[in-house]
Amino acid sequence: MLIAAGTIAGYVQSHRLSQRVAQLEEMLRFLNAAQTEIRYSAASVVEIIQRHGSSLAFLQQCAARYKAGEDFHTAWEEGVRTGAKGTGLTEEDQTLLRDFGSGFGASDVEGQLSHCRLYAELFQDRLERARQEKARKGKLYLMLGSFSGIAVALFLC
Amino acid sequence: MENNYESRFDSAARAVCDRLRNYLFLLPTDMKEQAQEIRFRVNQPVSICCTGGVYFLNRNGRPSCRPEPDGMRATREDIDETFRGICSYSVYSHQNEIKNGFITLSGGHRVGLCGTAVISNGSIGSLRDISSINIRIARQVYGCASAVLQAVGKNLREGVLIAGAPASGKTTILRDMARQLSSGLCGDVRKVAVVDERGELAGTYRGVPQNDLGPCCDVLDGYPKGEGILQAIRSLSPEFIICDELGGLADVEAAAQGLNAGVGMISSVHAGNVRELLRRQQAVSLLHTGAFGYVVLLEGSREPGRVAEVYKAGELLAQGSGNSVADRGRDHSGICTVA
Repeated sequence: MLIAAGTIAGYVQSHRLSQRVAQLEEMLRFLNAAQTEIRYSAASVVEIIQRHGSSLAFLQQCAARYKAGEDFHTAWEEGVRTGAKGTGLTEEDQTLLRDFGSGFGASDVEGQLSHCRLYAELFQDRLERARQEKARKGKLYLMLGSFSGIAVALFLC
Repeated sequence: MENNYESRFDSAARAVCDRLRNYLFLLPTDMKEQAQEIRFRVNQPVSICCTGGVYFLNRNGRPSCRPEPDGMRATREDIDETFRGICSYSVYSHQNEIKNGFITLSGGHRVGLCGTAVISNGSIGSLRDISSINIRIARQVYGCASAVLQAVGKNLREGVLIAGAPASGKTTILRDMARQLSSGLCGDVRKVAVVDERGELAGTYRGVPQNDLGPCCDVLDGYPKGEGILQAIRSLSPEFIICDELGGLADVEAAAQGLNAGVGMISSVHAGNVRELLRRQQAVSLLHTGAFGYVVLLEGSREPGRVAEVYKAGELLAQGSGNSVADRGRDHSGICTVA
């Protein structure tokens, strides 16, 4: 029982690392799609979110809140606050998301393309580090969990 | 006649930032009915322009005739937030409209913008630091063009130029003329093309006209008037072309083309009275094209949509060239008077 509990705890930690990588990859895809939409279709920010943000929970929450009457920036902030929970995104990732939201849609086409490019680079950097962290610590957490369970079990016996 | 003026006001007020919106919703119904514009100027009291004059919001959000020192002022944040909301938080998707100084809202309301111009290649590339916002409440007054249509009667194909001071109801009458003609409410159903350069007539929002222009009306949204008229003649075979505020040289030439194509031209021009009309070279040029057989003069902003007089363009020009119309006054120059 103790060994199983330790293994599960290790797996949860390891899974968070994988989740974070997946979320950052989705965010990068979203930023690329947003640039295309801004350049060629002039779609509004909410339309862009609805078309390309279906795999990110915080974007879905943002769109739902905006539709319910909240202003866009409050909806974005709240979306990040509630939608990023349990997704493996760190506090720093969430701060970066909030910073991106504060300038998203707030300038002309060239300004928005620059804004998206800048944050795409910043997220790309975070993604590289998240991948390295996953490679380095993923298996470690699993092993650590299992061994901790075994150690506790041995100690109690 | 229509209308649910109160809901028109409220639909326009929805574009305003949270802090000020509720004060606007709570305004008295009779004021909402009369309101033509909601105006915000940075650090100045919020004002509502009505047919009876301008009202200001006091600190409790109630209307008063004079601006009070502690009245409800639009802050920098209010203006910025309202601007962002008007753009659906997507400034880039309204870039051209901002450059031209106005944005059309859902419901056909037009928002005029004023700020600091950003010059690019010698022309206005954009606006920054928005300092004034003017929300013009779009109205559909069903039947308001009936007086004009009755006065001109079967001669409508000769063309009609509606003259009036700002806020005298020119656009509202043009809109109703389009609707009545394309719905067949004043005779046969007519094919109408509306050249809506500034989005005021149809109030097109995401490709859908927000105002009722009838079933046989084609809307050329955002086209420069001159080009739009020519395009309509080439591709839409309209019986009538309706557009707002003709004035430029290209417009005059396009109006002449319309005449040659046998299309009835209906348009408007800024002029508070006959003297003013005949002093404006562009207006006189328009009349000289022969595209407008009649000139309809409206009362001022105190009685929007009310027809003062209807003139025959030829007689008006003849009298104008003799410099007699303005001197003799209206009573002797109009062909008929509509109450």
